[in-house]
Amino acid sequence: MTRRRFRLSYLRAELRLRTRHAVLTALGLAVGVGLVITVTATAAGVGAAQATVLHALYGIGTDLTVTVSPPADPGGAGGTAAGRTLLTGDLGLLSASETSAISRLDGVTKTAGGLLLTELKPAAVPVTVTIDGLDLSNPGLGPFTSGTIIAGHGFVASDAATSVAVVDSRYASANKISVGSSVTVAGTALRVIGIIRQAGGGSDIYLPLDRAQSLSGHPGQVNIVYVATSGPAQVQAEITGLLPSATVTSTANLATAVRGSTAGAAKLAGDLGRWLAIIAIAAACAVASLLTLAAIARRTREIGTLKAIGWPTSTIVGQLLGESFIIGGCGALAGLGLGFAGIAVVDAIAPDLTAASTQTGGPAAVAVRLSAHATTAIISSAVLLAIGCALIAGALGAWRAARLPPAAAFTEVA
Amino acid sequence: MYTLHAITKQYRTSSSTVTALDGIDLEVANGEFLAIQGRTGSGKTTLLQILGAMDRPTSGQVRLAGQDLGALSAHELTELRAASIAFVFQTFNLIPTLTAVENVESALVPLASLGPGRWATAADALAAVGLADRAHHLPSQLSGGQQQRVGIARALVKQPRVLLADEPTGNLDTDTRDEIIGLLERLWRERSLTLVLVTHDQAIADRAQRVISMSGGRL
Repeated sequence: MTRRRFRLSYLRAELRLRTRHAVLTALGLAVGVGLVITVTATAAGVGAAQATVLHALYGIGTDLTVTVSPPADPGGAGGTAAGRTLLTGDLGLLSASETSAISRLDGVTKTAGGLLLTELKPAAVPVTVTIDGLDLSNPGLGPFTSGTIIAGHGFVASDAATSVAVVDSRYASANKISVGSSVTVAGTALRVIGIIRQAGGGSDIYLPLDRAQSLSGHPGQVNIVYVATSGPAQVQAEITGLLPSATVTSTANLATAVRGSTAGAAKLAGDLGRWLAIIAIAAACAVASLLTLAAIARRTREIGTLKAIGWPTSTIVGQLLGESFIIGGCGALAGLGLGFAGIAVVDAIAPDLTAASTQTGGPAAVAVRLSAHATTAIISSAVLLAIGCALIAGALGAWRAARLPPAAAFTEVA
Repeated sequence: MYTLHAITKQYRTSSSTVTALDGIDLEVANGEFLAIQGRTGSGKTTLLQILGAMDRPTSGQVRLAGQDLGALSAHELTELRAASIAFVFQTFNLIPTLTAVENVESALVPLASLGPGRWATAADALAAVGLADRAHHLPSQLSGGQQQRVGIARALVKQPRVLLADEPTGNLDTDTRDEIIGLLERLWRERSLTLVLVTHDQAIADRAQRVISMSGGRL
């Protein structure tokens, strides 16, 4: 007990009277830890933003989407014929039998057809409204699932044949639309039953698939099929075999197909961030090790004296490791502070991230707020890294001290 | 106390071999006060390190109280230094971050058997060299003479059989030198120590029971 008391007293005295070395070492570790936390939290934030984008573009629970290109003749099944106000844009149409064939494939657990349309509203400056026809008989798939109803209610199965709509909150706000009012699609008034808020955007107006098909003049047809599977890779291959001209997009495909600042930021965070974190912690370790070795060199006579008066090497090594552990702990705490400050700076200055899919289907573009956030795992890892670095530095110093002979007590080095 | 037979100590450098001790034969009686004199580089400090079990000779045999030091492991030599051999250094070698009493106590750390009374033992040792009122001062707050007194208290607190002193007054003025050598002499008599002291100073050597001179690694 008294030996422990003495060693704690010695440790405290060393840290107190060699403050400069302790502070410099702890500061070096703190900068490394702070950078690791900031960079990792930013990368996590970018990852979360990308997930939000993917959900918005793709829909929760959807593993694959199936689309086809429109025929070369714009007057054909592609649906951009003159006289129609609702256009299917750059998506071709899929028949009910094709949708049904997809749903029967092995590994497919659920499918839902959708009809993505645009309407050009005549005005001084023409406005394009995006419209999404939802398959109410198979809810739970597609971009609509990632939104939150903030007023009124969503669709129920009995709405399939009725003239009702759910409107995006931003579109509703811009056009002063509320629950109970109406919106006009292809000259037909639809009663608004709900307002939906979507993380990054989406279609402006949602309506039952049957109504979208009849209003657009494409009965029984869809231009996107959302697929839930038990094995996306296998089902993707099966659909390609069934419909060779179809574009089958998986979550992974979509992530790579997302272009815009989230893709750039994700790549930056994934590549540069990872290396920056590794370099930062390696530099912190190197600085701590060099400072510790320099400190041991200055304490040659002290260590030699302890050996000369009979201190076992293991006791001296334990003493030095104890000092390093405390310095590492201080560095970790300071690093946490720096890391959270870095996160606050990132949150304050980070721009909104935008993304658009080069694949077809879902909303064209999404904007999300980048928010860096440190998880318990990140914080724990950073603290362990700091202490680990300090212990590595301490072990190097201790190794050097252990090699010193007792005769070092006679050295002239102060 | 000590019996040295045909002791040589050589240091190899990249280009040559330096012989620090060359065939030393020496007997030191129990309770003797022996002074070793010689010019710089004559091998005095190397001899003191071998007597102190801090270094091993290249060849020859060292016996302390009949025990062959060459047969002991590094760990056993450490235990021997902790319990039986004490040092007083020319440059005091106090731990700069510890107070005077903590420096004295540091010599008792390897001796776990002392237990809770260790601090009091250290304080008593400090009082025995006249520094009871400086117990909580750091070395930097003490004069050279006071620092050497702390060094002597640290050496003697564990009741060693042998005290080895390397130029203990080399960094002190004449008045302080006399004070320190007087203290060492008094403690040697009171505690029946075997005292081996390396010195350049003829006045100090004259106070020893026996003086030996070294030159070129030989007596």
